[in-house]
Amino acid sequence: MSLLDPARVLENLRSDLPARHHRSFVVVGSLAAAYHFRRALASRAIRTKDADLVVFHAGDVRACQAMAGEFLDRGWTPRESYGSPRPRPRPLGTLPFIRLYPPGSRQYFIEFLGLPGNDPVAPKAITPVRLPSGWHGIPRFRFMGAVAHGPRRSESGLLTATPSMMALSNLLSHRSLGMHRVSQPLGGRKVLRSSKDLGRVLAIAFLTPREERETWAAGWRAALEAGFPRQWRGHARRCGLGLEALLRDPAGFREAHHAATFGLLAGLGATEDALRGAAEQLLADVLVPLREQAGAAWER
Amino acid sequence: MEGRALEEAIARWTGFRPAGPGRPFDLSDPAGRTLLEVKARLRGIRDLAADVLQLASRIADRPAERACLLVVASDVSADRLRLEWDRARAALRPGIARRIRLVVLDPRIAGFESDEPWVRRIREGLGKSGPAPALPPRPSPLSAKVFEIEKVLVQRWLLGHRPTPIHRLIRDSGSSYPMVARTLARLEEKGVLRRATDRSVSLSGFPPELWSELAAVSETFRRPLRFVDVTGRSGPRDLLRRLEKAKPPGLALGGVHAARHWDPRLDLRGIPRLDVSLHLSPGPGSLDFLKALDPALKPARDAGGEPLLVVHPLARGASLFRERPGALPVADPVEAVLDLLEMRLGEQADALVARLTDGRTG
Repeated sequence: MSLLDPARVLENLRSDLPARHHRSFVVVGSLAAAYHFRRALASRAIRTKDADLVVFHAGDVRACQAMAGEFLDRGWTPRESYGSPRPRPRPLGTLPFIRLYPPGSRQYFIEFLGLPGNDPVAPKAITPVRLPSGWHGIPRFRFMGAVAHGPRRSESGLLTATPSMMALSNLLSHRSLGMHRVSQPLGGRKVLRSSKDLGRVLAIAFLTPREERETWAAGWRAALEAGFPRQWRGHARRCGLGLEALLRDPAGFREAHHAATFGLLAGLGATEDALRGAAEQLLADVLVPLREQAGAAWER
Repeated sequence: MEGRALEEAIARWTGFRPAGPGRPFDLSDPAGRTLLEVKARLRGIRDLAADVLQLASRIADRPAERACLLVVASDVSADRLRLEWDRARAALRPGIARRIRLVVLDPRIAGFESDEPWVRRIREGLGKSGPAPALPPRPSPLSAKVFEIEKVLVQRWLLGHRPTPIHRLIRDSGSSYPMVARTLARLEEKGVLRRATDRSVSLSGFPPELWSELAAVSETFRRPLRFVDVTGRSGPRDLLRRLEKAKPPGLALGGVHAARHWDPRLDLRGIPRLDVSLHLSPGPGSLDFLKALDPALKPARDAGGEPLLVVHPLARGASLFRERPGALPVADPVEAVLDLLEMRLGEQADALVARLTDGRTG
């Protein structure tokens, strides 16, 4: 886990990546969130280990191969501590993801993520990609599509996911808290995966002015309709169930608070009560209207 | 009209006979079958229970007798009266409970009316004699009700309204006639009340002493509800924007917004809180609007910190809000001044009063 200046990392990414691929991906995760809120965070460095890149054409094996190949040609080096490349593309579950260090630095790494197709059903699909070192996989998470909806161009020219869409993606991914814990401790604690991701939602909600947040429901509906043309109403009606479960679960909420204040909200003095308030506002301002829209559309 | 004078009048109007000393009732019909206990004013529930018990003990062994408790004016609310009456009767044997009833002439108390000829004659008799009591009422000590009545009078004086008919004072303050009468007696005692010949009243000028007294007890009687924003990220402008959009019923802007309405020249910038007045009675006002307004607002007592929103409940008959087209109404100037005083903005409160009373002497 490193302390990174988000604007500088994006600038480095821009210079280290071939220009023709700058529009082929969108930066997501803590780096994108920290970049968006850099003023509210007073340009504080953020704790993160990776720069997640969602590759628009991750379903296109040849394009991904070419893109990753070009990165390697420019001096990016594989990060193989999470598993070595495999000699065969099956079984998919054993393939390591594509993680690359920038040329001449091990301060952070990029990770390739893919976009799902329309109305995906499986929580995660993996596209096998052959690189010179062997077979890798690009994961395509079911609700990752939202982050590619309406990205913003950063000062570096790279596309970044909006906080609103990252929040939506995380909310959709966790309808309940589950039992799964993160593999890498956050500030010494292996928190629930759902607490970590929903903690990110709380941090984003906390940092977003309420007037702006009130506009989210319309954008979320548009993203759901685009990604789930046949299923959007059901997803809209269930969106936020995990957040409500988190509010009812003191231990889970404490972990979410820990994850949020260890990451994006570090040093801001956000209390548990403050995040609880932000969660309740998010439910009232965005999730309830979204569910009502889905319900009303269903009635018609 | 109270006590013996009232009983004698009822005897004249109805033909009922005074019971004489030592009896647990005041009057009875000529046949001695209907016993009447008269309460000129029911002051509390304890009176009711005691009277019911007395009447019950009288008719318990006389199955042919029926008893009636007649209440002319009630300080007890209709709901409370109904509850206590049912309780008192439930404690009696059914054979007795069936023979005791309650008739209330006070028009504010529904559910205990009677159209029997003798009741009608009492009502007519009371109407002819007028609602004014035969004896001067005792001046009332300062209470929440008195506070409301006096605020109504100060508000009307500040806005330069005509003298207030007493029936309107009763309606606007949501108080009973006896309470209004006692409050007026209190103001007369202080030398600040002017009575007109048409049963209207007004303050005789701006009464600094009265004003100081109201300001001193303001917090005690208004009982403001303070809320903090636990996220620490919202401001009064944010809340105001949402309130203007929702326009909750029974709610008006108070504090600096109301003060600015009444005097746009007031210097009230940078006040980090929003004051609202919430009309509780008889309108639909309730705190339900808070959750939609901002679920992150929590009672200040629990959460600590400086309040972002302060709700001033108004428990009186009329809100006295000033409506504004397309915007939330504002609270009356008295509420605005009291809000400012509560914020320790005494200078601005004085300036607002001075502005409203500018050039007026009475």
